[in-house]
Amino acid sequence: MNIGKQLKDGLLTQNPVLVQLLGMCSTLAITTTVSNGIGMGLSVTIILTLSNIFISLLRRIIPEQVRIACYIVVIAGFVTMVDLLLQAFFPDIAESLGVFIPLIVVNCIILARAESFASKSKPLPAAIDGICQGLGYTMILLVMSAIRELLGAGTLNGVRVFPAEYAANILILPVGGFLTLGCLIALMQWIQRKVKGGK
Amino acid sequence: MNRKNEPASPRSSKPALSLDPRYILRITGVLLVICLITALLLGAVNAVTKPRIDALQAEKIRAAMSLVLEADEYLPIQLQKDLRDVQSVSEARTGGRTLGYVVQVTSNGSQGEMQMMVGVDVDNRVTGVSVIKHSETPNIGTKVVADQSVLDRFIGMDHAHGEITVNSGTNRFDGISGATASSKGVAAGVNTALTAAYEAASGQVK
Repeated sequence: MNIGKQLKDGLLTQNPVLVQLLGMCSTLAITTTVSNGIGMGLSVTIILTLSNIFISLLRRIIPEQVRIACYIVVIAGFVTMVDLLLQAFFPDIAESLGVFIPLIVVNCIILARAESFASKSKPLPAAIDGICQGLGYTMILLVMSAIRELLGAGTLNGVRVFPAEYAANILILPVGGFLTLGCLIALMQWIQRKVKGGK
Repeated sequence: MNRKNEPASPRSSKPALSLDPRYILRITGVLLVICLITALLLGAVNAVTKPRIDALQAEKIRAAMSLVLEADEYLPIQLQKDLRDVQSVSEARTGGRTLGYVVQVTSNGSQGEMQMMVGVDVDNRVTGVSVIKHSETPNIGTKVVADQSVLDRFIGMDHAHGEITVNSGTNRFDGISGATASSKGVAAGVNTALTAAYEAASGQVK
């Protein structure tokens, strides 16, 4: 077990969004404001960690032929619980994330980690994997939403930085999401190549 | 699919499908048990959160009602005619006097359904509009549905010159450029509410 390596994998070398290219849909859709990014990132991290732990615990019970169905049931259960809890105790976040919370069920990061990691690991490494991958996802959502909110609306976490007249509204639109994500992926590739070349 | 690193089935790429009833029962049973446990847990969470969610929702509707038409009490009334998209109509009363009606309607914006509350006075004029729930595009549709100063431009409009239309007609509402679909959605909701309030008022003639 190597926490440092798992953390590095989650944040950089195996970053779920920029390297594994998972969870693109939610990444593009919700990164219009920083508060959305944080809310979605933390929700996914919590659900990912919980589902990783449970799928790891159940890994000897779940028959291979129906494993995907079992994963989906476990994930959907946790998503619905988090959705209900958010609606009851954090109505503001629940409102702004809207339909994207139920959509975490089909967020491929969670299914991918269940299939490729949790189903083959002990609960503790699976939990750490969930946290690390979730943090990697949250980090990218945070960077993307900060770029898009700042340049697209002229605000940062709701606080106005410069007048709205100078903001490039295109960055808030879906097309701006693709542009930002493309640039970040390119940057990540460049950094990784540079690090490898330096060795 | 390439499964080279699985020594269990070297010849076929997939393990042969087993039709042994015991095996089928076992996988069905496991799936069923997992579903049952999940359902039980969900039931427990729902039991804890439902009262809170309902209370928050009721509070929100109440806040929207007093925003669009301030009154002491709101009495739900039943329309004689069933109108589409009308969720509820309540009579707004202060000191026994009817001030008007608050109508909760659903309407279609550019990104899906919107829940709105519209206040209408006894002369069948709009006293206020509030959007309770929407999924409009941030910074585009929200320029209409989340900007109270835009919604307040509906105040005073009526059906004396026909239905409210966006950017055209005799009963014109100037939409927000770039957010025409959202503007039209809100206008449609206001139209529905005005019709419902008219029905409510004519149904109550004593």
